[in-house]
Amino acid sequence: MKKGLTFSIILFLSLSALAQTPENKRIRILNHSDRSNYLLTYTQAGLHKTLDQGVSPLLYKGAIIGAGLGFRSEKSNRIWDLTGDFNYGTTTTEAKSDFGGFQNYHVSIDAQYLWNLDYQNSYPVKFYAGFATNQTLNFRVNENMFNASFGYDVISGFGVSAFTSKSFNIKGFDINLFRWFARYHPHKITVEYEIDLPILFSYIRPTYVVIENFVDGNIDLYDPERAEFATIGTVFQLKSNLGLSYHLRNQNIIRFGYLWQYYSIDPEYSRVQGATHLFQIQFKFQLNKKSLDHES
Amino acid sequence: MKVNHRIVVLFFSLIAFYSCENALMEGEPSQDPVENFDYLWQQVNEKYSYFDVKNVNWDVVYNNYRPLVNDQLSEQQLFNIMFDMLSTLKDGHVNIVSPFNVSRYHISHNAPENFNRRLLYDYYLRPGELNHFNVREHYYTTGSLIHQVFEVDEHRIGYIHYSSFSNTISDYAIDYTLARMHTTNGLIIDVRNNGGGAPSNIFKIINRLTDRKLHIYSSRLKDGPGHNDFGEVMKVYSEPEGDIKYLKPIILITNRNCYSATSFFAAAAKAYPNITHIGDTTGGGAGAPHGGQMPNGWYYRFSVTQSAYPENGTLHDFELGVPPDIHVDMAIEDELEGHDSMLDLAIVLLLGTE
Repeated sequence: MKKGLTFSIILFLSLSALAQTPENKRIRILNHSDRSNYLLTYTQAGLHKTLDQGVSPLLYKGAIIGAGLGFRSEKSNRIWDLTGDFNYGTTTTEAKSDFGGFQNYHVSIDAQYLWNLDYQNSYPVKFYAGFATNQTLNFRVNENMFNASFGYDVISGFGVSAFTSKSFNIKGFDINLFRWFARYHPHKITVEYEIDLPILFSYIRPTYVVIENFVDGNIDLYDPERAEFATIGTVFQLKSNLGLSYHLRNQNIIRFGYLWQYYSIDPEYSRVQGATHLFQIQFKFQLNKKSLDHES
Repeated sequence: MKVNHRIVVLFFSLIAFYSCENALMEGEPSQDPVENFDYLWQQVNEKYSYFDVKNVNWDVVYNNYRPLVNDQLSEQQLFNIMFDMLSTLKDGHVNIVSPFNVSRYHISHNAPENFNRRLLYDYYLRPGELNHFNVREHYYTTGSLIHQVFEVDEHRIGYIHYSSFSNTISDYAIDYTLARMHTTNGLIIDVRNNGGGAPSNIFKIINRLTDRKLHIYSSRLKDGPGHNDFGEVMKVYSEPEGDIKYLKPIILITNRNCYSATSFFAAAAKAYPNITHIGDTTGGGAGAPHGGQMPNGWYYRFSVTQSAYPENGTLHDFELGVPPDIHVDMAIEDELEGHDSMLDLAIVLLLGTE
């Protein structure tokens, strides 16, 4: 855990330094189109909860930490992006007689394509809607569960997604503090909110009885042949992300986000639910720099 | 900067929305003895796989033990009632694990011990004046396998002792051990007192003892809450593996303390024409265990599968043990003279097969 925190802090500091590199040290590709392509890197930390009734009636919760990478392309008429992240955490119950806990591993791959529904900018906020697909792998290990120590749920979802944002300009000002002078330059900030609601799913859960290390000598990680298809209801998944983007003068962006996601799978046995709260720090490196006069 | 108040309201609405999961995800712990007893009884009722074979009426068990449970019970009293309730299943794969005790069932209760480790090492494995075969080389410990070669009337008999299927067998260990056995006329595989472990180790050995694919046993998994709700029968096979194999006559020795993976190993041996199984019936344990947790945080496990080996065209469930082809117990008078009756019979049988 400590190693993970140290790594995240180093990653954060390194990326901060990169994002703030002076413009004269960077090769700039001037581009007058309205397309902005970003390389996304982010780190995140927060709280994770799991309630897997296949093995326990108890709620497990604990800290989680992770990092991700992605690509995002924004134009005035559409947005698409592709991101992937890995998170790790430990969760425990509040039972005083419980001396165990889960080691949790989460892998998530998301993609979305959204269209601008207000291309004429007739409303004060921008609003995009479209489709999103995601692949979520949740693995957890609790050695105290004997042959059921390995728990998992794998969800592939396809559904709708919406994104809204509103930008504000912060005026520049001077700071004069006991003969120490500094100038805060004008910046743009954007408040964003995004929500994904998958409707069609395929999922993999353990069988009616959770068992691994089976008598055929195979350890049952998960068998894709057991995948089930479902619509919203049997599986429910919601991903919501509230963010504040701070636009740097070099056209890169630092984004502070709060991601909440919830899922449940109820195949009429061994229902599983999971929820995650993650605070994110994201660095969006613009790959196609625009000429300054084009910037609004 | 002019802040739009609607955005502020929206922001706090979203924060409130984010705690919605608390209404959907309960799962608070409970120390209530009745709730915990009922939860465990119900889990066993819906998932345990051997009520029929054990001839246990689980409703009657509930009626016998449920009246003993009340809100005034201490943790230890509740644990002991659950311990007694689960003991009616007579299953070594059934346990409750609390911070202060572990419930268990002794599969070798009232059975002959049939294994004397001190005697085995002094009179058979270690070189010295006591050794029956005047072996000059120290016994080998190659990974988790202990092995020795006995020279009897110009015949060479190999011996391997494997004490636990929990100890992983590496490819190197099995290669080295079988290579050492290359010049022997027959091999004894002694798994007495092996309480089981990882089924994957069964295949590390058994796949080296055949040159063709063999149906070794079949298993099925509980797939519903009814006592007879099982999934499809799955056939399990052994397949030739590795460059170094042993296809000469083999004697397998078991006792009542052989359990779980060791019973699967003995069951698999039934399919091998070159293996003769001697000793005592194994302790059983054909039901692979599922684990879980109770509302108070204690853990449990119990059998959720059924397994059977094919013999003479029918499947034989071995939850109650795998019977040997030749039954033999250690005789006390032999033991007093430094002889292991089971091991001696194995050697005689191998000498007679040539």
